[in-house]
Amino acid sequence: MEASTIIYSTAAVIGTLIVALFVGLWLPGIERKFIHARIQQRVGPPLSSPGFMAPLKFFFKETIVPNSPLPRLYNALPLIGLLSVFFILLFLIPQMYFLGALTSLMAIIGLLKIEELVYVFMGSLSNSIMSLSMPFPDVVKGAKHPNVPKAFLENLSAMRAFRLIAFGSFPLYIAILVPAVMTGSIFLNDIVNYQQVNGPVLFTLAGTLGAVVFFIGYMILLNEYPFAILKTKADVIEGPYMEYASKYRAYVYITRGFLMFTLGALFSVLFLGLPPNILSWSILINIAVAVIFPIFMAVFSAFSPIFTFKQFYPVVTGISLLGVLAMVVAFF
Amino acid sequence: MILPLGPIHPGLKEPLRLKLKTQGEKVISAEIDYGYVHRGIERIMEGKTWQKAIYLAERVCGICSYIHTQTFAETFEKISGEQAPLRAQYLRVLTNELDRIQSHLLANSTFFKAIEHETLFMYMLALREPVMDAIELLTGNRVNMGWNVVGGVRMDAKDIHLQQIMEIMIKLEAGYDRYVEMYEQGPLVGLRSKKVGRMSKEDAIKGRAVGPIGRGSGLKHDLREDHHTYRDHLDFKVIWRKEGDNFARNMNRFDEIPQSISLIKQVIENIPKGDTRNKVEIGKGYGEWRNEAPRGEVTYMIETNGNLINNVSIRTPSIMNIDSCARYMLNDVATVSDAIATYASVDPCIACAERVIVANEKGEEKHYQGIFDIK
Repeated sequence: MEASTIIYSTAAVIGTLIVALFVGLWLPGIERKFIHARIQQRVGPPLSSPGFMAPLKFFFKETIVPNSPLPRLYNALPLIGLLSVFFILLFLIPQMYFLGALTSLMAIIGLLKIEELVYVFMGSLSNSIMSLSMPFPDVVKGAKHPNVPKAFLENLSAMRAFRLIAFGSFPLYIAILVPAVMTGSIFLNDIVNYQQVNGPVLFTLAGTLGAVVFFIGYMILLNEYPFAILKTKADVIEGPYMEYASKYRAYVYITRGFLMFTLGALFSVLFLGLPPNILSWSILINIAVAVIFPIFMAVFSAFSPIFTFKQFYPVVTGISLLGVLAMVVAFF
Repeated sequence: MILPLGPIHPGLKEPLRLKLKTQGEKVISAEIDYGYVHRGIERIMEGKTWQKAIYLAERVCGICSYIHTQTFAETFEKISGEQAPLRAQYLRVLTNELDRIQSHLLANSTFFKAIEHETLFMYMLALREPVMDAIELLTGNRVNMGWNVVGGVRMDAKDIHLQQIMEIMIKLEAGYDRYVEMYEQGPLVGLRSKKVGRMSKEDAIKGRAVGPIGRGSGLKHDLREDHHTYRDHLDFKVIWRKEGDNFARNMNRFDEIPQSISLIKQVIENIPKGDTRNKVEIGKGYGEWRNEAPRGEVTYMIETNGNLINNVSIRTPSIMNIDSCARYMLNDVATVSDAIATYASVDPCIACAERVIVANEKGEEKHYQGIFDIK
């Protein structure tokens, strides 16, 4: 390989990642300031506050050791989540397509699974003060339920995270497979090339149905209302994130913004055939998709209460069936 | 497993401990621990004159503070055998109904916060603001109004202020239906509130549920029906529903707001001229008075010795409503989130409810009792 090609590819990869990080840090602010606040007839936070200034502030905060059986692993989990998202975006960049199997849909799904699985471990490894007995013991005279084992709020969120992994991620995965069925390949390179010849998958019936299913899966994966069951403020408060402080909390915030951009880029690759590349005009489409998706999501979430599993299961089943229909249509 | 929520938890407005016995996500039963904000107000009132004690009565509750001073004053008026002048009675109705509107909007906003419908939550608070302005216009304050005195109200209302309140009510009425419709017909909100946290009429009677909580379960009972000012001078009808679920409790509050607006309009249109305060001589005696607070029945029992308070007992509606919630609504609830929403639908006020706690020394069960049980 020539030196100029290596320099060109390295610049493309690093440049794309930097742009993704920069855009990702502003997306939560756009969602909250321009959509939620406007619909709710209030001023809202500064644009930079939710995604950019908040993580920056947390890097300068004191680190508090969490009340966890494995505090070091617990603190490492946000970084693991961030890295898995980082690798997804890395493998979406066309200069990385020479890696073969790592740039296939199976690798993307596997890395997404890691990002989801992290929440189960976060919840299981956290025992915050929010569930401790204070100041009266639970064995107070006359108590209805004395000597019953006690659960922590984070344990409940871990249980919810597990159910989400088992069931909630179906729509996204089914939607991801729709372009694979149409192109007859699970490799990103083939999917992109197919669309450059035959036009975007999005403009077919199967592709349109798949895009709708993808959007719902996007909302579920980002734990956005009405699917934010993992971190319901009314009961489990922040759920798995509850005990994160300082830079570890900053990683959680950055991961969310970064995941918003990455899933937008994944949509661009799978449904528009436009991979993220700083050295191509297609990066503008990637950024546009990354901004439009949170806007739609914010409009939808502003008018929804949070779902419990009672509502969650039928909705996810319905959307998954729509995804299956898209796959069937894609065969023809 | 037991899932303890509180005493410090963002889902709970005030400190208490809600212990949920769960099986996975399902809530089998619940227990509530009070005692975190008990202030001993009744005991502090003893030996004080009404002029001092009325300030304490106003601080029993931070949301419906107004009705406490009215009930306190009316108890003294009953002991003395004097009534407030008619103009003062009208002004009391006006303030009471304004307070009811803001309290109901706050209660429903709390429910929307519990189901995390942030937009409706914000809309409710935005609707509440002009009502708070109206209260400030009339009394000079938003929460602790210092409006009632024994024998009437502290000062007269100016006609211009009454007209401004009328304009606020007309504006509120004009935009109100849109928000109710969002709740009543919103399919997603319906999924979270219909057939959740049910309490039958029989259970409501057993649990002594009062206010919109009892009326949401079919109890056609509102003390305003028996109050002399409402009964003799105003057009009033009890609003109630049959369903007994979270939806019914919130809708009952929503439906009571237009009625309060109508009462306010009646007052402003028909308020008589005259004094706003009578001189009252208080002797030795015992009096008991009940009023319909926004959350339900509030009772004051006062024993006086001349101008001094010998003994006082206060029963607030939250005592019975929270008890009904723990006993009947939180049995076999599908999810923890629904249990929290059900608890929020009861509009609990813990500062109110922290009156008397008696633990049964013999049995396993702990009873939270009102003053009637103790006497």
